[in-house]
Amino acid sequence: MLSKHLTGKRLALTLAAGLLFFAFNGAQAQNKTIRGVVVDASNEPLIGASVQEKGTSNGVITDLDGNYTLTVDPESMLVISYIGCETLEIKASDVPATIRLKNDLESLQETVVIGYGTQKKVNLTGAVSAASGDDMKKRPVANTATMLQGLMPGLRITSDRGQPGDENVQIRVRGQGTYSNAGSNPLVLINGVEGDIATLDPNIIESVSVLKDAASASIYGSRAANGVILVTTKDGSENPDKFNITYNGNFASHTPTTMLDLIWDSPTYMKYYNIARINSGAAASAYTDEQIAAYTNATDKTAYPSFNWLDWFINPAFVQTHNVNISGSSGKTSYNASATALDQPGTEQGQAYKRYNVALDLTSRLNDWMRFGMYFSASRSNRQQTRQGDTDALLSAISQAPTYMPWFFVDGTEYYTYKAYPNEGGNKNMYAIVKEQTFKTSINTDVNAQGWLEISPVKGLTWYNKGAVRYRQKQEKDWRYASGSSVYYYHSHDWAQQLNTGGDGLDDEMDYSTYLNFYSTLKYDLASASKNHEASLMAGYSVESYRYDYLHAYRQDFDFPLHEIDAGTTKTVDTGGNAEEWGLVSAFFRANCSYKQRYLLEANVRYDGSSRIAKANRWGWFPSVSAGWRVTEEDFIKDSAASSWLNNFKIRASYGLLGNQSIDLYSYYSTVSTGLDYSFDNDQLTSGIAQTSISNENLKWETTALADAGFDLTLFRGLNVTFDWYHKRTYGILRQAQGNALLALDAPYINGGEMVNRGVELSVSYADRVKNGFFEGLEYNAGFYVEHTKNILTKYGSDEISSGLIYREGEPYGSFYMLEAIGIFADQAEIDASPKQYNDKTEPGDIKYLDWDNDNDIDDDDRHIVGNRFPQLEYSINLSANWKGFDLSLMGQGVQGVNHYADHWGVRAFRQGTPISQEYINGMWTEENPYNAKYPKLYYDNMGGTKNNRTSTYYLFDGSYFRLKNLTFGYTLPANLTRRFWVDRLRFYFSGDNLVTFTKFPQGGDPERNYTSKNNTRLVYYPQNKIYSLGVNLTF
Amino acid sequence: MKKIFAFILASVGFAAFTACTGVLDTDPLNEPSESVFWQNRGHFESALAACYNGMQEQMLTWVMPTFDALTDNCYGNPGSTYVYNADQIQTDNFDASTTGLIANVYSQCYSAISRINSFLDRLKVYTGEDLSSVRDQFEGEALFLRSYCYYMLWLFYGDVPYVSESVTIDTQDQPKVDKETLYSNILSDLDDAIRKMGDQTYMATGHATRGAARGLKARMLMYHAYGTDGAVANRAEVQEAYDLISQIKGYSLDPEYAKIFRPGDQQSSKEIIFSIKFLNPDNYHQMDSQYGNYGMISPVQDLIDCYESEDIRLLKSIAVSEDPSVLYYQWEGGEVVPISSSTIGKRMVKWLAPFYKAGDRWTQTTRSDQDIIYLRWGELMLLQAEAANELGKTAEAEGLVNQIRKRAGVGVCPGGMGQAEMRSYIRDERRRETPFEMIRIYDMRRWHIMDKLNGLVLDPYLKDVKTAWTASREYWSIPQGQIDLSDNILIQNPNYK
Repeated sequence: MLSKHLTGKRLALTLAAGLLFFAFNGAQAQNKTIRGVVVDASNEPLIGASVQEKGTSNGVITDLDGNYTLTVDPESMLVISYIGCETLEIKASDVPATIRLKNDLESLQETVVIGYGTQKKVNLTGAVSAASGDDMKKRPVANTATMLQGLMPGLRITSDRGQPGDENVQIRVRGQGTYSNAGSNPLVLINGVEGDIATLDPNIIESVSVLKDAASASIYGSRAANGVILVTTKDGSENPDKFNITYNGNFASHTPTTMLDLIWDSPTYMKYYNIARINSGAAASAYTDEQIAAYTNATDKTAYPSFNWLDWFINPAFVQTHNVNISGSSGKTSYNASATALDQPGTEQGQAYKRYNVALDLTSRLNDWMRFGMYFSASRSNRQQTRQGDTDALLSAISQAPTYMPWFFVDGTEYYTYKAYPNEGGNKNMYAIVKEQTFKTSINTDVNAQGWLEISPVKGLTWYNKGAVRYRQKQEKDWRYASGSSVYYYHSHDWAQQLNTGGDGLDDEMDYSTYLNFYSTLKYDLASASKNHEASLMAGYSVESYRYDYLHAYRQDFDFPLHEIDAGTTKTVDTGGNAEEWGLVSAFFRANCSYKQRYLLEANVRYDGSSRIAKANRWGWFPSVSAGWRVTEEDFIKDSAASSWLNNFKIRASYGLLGNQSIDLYSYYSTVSTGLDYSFDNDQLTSGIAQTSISNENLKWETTALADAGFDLTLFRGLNVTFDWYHKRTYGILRQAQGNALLALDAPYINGGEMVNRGVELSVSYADRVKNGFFEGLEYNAGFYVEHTKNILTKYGSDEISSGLIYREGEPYGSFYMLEAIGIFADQAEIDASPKQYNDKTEPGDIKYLDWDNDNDIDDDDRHIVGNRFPQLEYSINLSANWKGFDLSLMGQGVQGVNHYADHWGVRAFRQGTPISQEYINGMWTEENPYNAKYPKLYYDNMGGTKNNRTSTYYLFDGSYFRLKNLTFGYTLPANLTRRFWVDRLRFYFSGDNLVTFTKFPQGGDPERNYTSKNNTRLVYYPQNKIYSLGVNLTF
Repeated sequence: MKKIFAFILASVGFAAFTACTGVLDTDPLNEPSESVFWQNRGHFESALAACYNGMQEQMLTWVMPTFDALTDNCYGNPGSTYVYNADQIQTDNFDASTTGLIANVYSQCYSAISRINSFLDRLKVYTGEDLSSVRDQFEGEALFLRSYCYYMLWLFYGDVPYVSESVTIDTQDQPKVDKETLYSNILSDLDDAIRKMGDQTYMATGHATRGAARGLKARMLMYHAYGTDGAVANRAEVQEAYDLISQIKGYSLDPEYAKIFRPGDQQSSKEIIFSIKFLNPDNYHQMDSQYGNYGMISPVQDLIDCYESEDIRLLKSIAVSEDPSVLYYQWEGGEVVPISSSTIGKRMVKWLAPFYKAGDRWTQTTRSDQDIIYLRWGELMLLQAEAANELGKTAEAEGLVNQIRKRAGVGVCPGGMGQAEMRSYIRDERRRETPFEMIRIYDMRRWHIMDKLNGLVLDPYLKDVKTAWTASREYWSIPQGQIDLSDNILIQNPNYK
């Protein structure tokens, strides 16, 4: 908006023009004089807008109040235009009194961060999705990577568990690219340098771009095969000549999304426990009648408790996050400084996570051809977990009978309980574990420093240089003090054994790594005189080097619980230490050109050399080419009626090669291994050395050929549609050659193996604003995306079957391969009428399998591929609205058509003594109720033995779900009210995460988990968190 | 001026690119390259130590007691990882895809063989003079170790590939050889070993010795000599076995039975002819944790019933309790301590290090280092007694048996037994002498009495367990995974689909 500041010149011109036109009009009797006002989208008058009769020089510009007067032939076309607004053409006779001009579509001006630069979204010929930092920050979660869920099609984020600081988040762009050690993780760059999203402070994130196809990603060559995620941090430049101080606080309560529903009533537990024990042939381990009577008739609930271990172990956790941010610009320098503290205790006892982040971004314009900037960030996190892990802690806590409490007192002294009776099952006492501080603590430090210098010596030429250092350190201590504590029998108070801490002593490990990166790019923009041809050329190079060291020490015997190595005796010690390094040198080039903004062409190429590959094959080329056609820039569209509703339509396609070089650092190097020692005299060890692996000097890159085609559409000024189809073929997959038992050595890595991923992505969104009526001013935005990927293992070798999965050419990698369970045998007659199952002693109440190959015999040949290893569809829906200071946003995300294998706790009755659920009791086979049973006969812990333990679809569940991921509702106090107190903006909000889930997955297991299950994978992990939080944003 | 400076910087910066390729030369920082190894005697000594280290595989060492759960001696809890599906084999409910023993014995034996073959290949081409005095000894030791691996493969699988040189990725698919061919190959290797090794005793060197090779050969002969009806078919082999054992010198019965199996005392035992050694704290295994703490292999009443109640071997090998929920045992050091209960009231205590004291409490160690015995003089004495008896020397057999029985603290065997009665007596005595030493399975197989498992009730607490055995499935299937990988070169045992 122009300020209301007119020069005298302009005023005079207006008046003069007005008079002239009046005079002119007077001479033409047919002409009509029209007058009116021109305003913009928010009804502000536009000064100096041009109102012109098309094709003539007959025109005026609006005055201080946006008014104009013009004499024209009523049949002529008027053209009204203003900078930043869309030009309006309208018949003179149709002109309304108030002409409202629309702002140029913001979506057409949007720029997107791409590799080594930025580009206007409309000119992109590659497949790039982007999200803003503000979208991410709505999620009140601690792990920043999970904030990306549901925001962009093609980006799949899954996480196995909700453990503070260790959620095991897996990020995949367009499916699983490879099955080698090279891995399917995308390259994550923060401001162009490798970094870690999980611990990044979300408050400093400006935007995240995901480069999904070859055209966009091949500029990163040998590390781009799995996609590239670019994170850009804020630099403070959006606040010219002022600064803001912002405080963001969030106070949340975390509870598990789902928990097992078990029966913790002692008499009931004892009754079913006995049935299970007797059915398992261990009648001697059953509770006696006296014992059961003692609990049923108990008056003293401490002596004879019905203790709910699960309830005691899991409690809501109170989590708080505080962030302070100062950003702004002063003259030629802009800055953004931020500090954040997060305190996240776990919902399980003994788990906790704290993290502190600081960041500073400075950008300064030194003079009109040099710019300089720096980015510094540091994070330090402290994670504590019970030493055998969070999931083990949960399972140990529930593998208890309700017949005893975790502690008992004798004369005021506290003792830890082992069991009530020796015949019970059970696992370690988590109360004792936590109280004895049997923890593994991890302190992680991550420091990034980057500095850059941009020089533009002549117009159109930009030279950008950046140097970066990243230093990371981790110290991990693992403490077990078995000799310090004992567990006892609850009733007799006899000593039972030492607390099972899984070992003894202190393990202390320190590792650190240094990463250096320097890159330099030279970019030249040129255009033809007519501006019809535009081109841009960019060349650059990059050098990276990395070194990792670690040192480890262990002592077993400690007389006092002091957690330092020196405090232990030297009787049993162990030490270790090692280092490794790698380097990468690359050169890259990009050219793009466009003709009349209509025809776009781009080519990228990268030349990489990696230290992981032998000299002979070290260097590789990764080219790509892409083209686009902006149909809406064609004259035939611009002139037609369609231009009123078809705002942007671009068709694009790309093809290119990307590489993956994340293999082991030294696989081409032939070495012998030391440490294969043996003692010939039971006194000293003689050192032993032998070859344990075969190397392959001819190792090369893994290459991915990626083709993409798609279109972007904007209609009716608010409806955006993006569609992509892609075909990704990874070949030369680095895998260990299949070595058999006779070879015995670790087989060498070879390039042999191919995998294909192909799919489609569709995203639709609509944004608008209500202009009149009661809801005037309501801005809303609704959208969804859906994507489908198919994975096919195209070249592998012989079929390999292991752990219930099959690796077979033509099928998805690691498809589920097992027997099909079709019910529970009701009675002996049914067993006699069905095929013999292996050599099992099948009885009524056992699982019935399908004779898939129809040979009247159930054996391994009846196994076949079942279910879906990877989801068939992933989708997300989001809605947001704001009106008069209120804002509401909803995000739902779902996955359809995937299966997970899940076993043990929650699936097997009385696993290590864990109580069963009412659901199991209702559905299990009994002699009284043999028909239509859902679950087998009640056995203790082992489901009746091998016959019911076979890998089968009994343990395979449908993992489809739809989850209301986030609901945020906030209110921003009116600006004129808060400004009286020098507060620019004050907003209160409620934000909930993982609020509602629709799924058929068994209760107690969260369906949101990595797609890596196989037989023996557990149902129960550390539960994901359902979050209710309240927060405040305060800006001065 | 500034602009010119900037241009100079730009060109220099770009030129620097070519100079930075130095970061690409990274050699491993903790492992030597193969090209600098195999150069002198010291290297070969290290490589030989690594061959022994290669024998420390689970199935070749500390999982030894589990093999008794294939016989009438023990029972393994089904579903327990540490039983390695022995229970499925004991009930004849296994196939080529069964994991556990069937898959692991195969791969671990070949893993040890592979390292030994690599050593032998290198030894053959080494021409340095510094090895000349020990070259034969080294070769003999490697041949002995390899023969033991093939002994296990021959015993459990029958027809398997026989490789005497390293294989490569291209030559790894080998067809199997007939068990008779395998038998003669193993005997020929053992003959080489006997010829090449010296006469030292095991206690002196800790290495394999000529005596060990003789003992292993005797074992193989005494297996092969029996026909399918359970009677001796080849007397010449029995004679040769008898002679071989007579030639083993320098060993004698340890006066105290339990000492043979105790980590602190094994080094000085005169009875052990060959064992695989371990050493705390860095070279240890999990025997106490798995067989003591978790206790998934339980000896059964059928075994206990063949002992007299005062037999030291019973008292030192097995702990028994009337009430299965509570088991106490008196260890050395005199304390009676509770050990984890067993559902049938019986626990293996042989091999286990006495629970160590920590403050006031006893607890099992997590770092076991007892040496696992392959050959000992006591068992060979009984083998010789068996051979003697078959050759008609009943009196000599009786003498040997009585020495064993005297050490066991029981009276002499009944006098005046004929060959048939003595045969039966020696068989039972072998069972009494060697529980948990992977001898019972060897004995039951060669005497062809495995069908005893059909309809056997192992223990009153195990009435529902239906042990079973079929003659056609006497040899295990080759693991299906190996068949799948072999590109149709390795053919499955025809008795398995």
